[in-house]
This record gives sequence, C-alpha cells and structure tokens, in this order.
Amino acid sequence: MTVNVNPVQTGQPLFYVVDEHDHAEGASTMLGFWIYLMSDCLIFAILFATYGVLGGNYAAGPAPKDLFDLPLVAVNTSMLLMSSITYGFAMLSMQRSRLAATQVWLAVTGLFGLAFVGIELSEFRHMIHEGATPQRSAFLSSFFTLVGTHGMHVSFGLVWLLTLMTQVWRFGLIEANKRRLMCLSMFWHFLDVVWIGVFTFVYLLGMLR
Amino acid sequence: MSAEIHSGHAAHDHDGMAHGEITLSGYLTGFGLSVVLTAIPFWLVMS
Repeated sequence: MTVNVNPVQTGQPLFYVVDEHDHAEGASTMLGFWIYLMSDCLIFAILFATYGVLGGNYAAGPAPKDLFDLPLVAVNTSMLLMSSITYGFAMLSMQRSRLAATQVWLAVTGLFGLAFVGIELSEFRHMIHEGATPQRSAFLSSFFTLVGTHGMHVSFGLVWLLTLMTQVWRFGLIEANKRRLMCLSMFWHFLDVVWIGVFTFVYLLGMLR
Repeated sequence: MSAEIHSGHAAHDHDGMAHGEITLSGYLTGFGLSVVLTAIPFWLVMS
C-alpha cells in the first residue's frame, strides 16, 4: 500500500519504481564496490597529477637519479605481480569450493604483499636516512604522498586479507564470504594497476628526466 | 509501463556472483602479458 498516487493511474509518465520489492542479498555489492574503486581511482589521479606538476621541483636537493634503485623497484614490482596471480589462484580454488587451497593461496598472497610493503618501507628508510625526507623538496613531498598512499592501501589490503582469512576459517566458503573475497580481489588487482602507473610515471620516467 | 520495469529487474535476480566464470587460462594470459609488458619498459630504461 503506497501513500503516493500511482502515476500510472493518473496517466503521468513513470520515472521510478513505485512498488516495493526485495533485492537479493549482496545483489548491489558489486556496483557499490565499483563506485568505491573509481572514487579511490580519483584520489590516485589527483596524486599523480600533483606529482606531474611538482615532480621536477628538486629545490637543489636530490633528484630521482640520486635516489632510486631500479633493480629494487623491479623486485618490488614482481612481488606485487606475483601476489596478483596467487590471489587469482585463491579465487580459482574458491570457485571449486576447495577451502584449504583457498586459504593457502590467500596466505601466499599475503606474504607477497608483506614483502612489497617491507621493501618499500626499507626504501623509504634509506631515502630518509640520506636526508631525502618529504620536507626536503616539492618533488619529495609529492613522491612520498603518492607512493606512500599506495603503500598504505596495500597495508590496509593486508589487514582486510587477514580478516577474510579468519572469516573463511570460521564460516567456510559461504556465499557472503565469496562475495567479500571477490571485492578484495578487485581491490588487490586495482592496487596492482595503480602500481603499474607508479613505477612507469615515477620511477622509470624519473630516471629519464 | 509497469511490466517493463519488472522485466528489467528480473535480469539480475540470479545470485551475487555477477562476474561469471573465472578461468585459469584467463588469469595466466593476464599474468604473462603483465610480466612481459612490465619487463620491456624496465629493460629499456635500465640498459
């Protein structure tokens, strides 16, 4: 029973659904998660644009060539690429309802993610030790903000991964957990894509600058 | 008019996994491409 007058009866055009109806649980999760991911993408777009403007302002301080260790960045990149394929294996195991295999692949993904964050933190520590702190120049401010924001996303992704592993351990591969694992899968691959932008735009182009 | 709206809703009444089947070959293709396409720019800059 609706309070409003049904526009169909009055001959008006109908622009929205007037009858109440149920939505299946989680039916709109994917749409919502895509909206979240794209809003996150805007944050990174802004940080990339800021780095694009400020990335050359060294203030007579160290430049990318003095700071970046490309072999280390290559190792770091491979950590993230490997963690993406192992997450894929976890999703394949989940699809075949193999609980133990799913957990093992999620754990392997977590270890690769942990290695990535560890390498990045040691890189930051090394840079700060050499006096290349975020306060040193606009280049370093924008560098630490962009790369640090990405690293923070990976760190939160690791917390999320551990949470979901606990969920799967306690409740098994129920429909809700499958949906959550699918969301984290999209988040994880999204971070991988953003990192492709970071190593291209910041590290590789920085060395050529 | 009302019937049209209902038919639109019936389209996504199936279960929550709207992404379809995940395949091993699809993942391996993507991984292979990502490795190759990452290695090329690194090699170009480092050499």
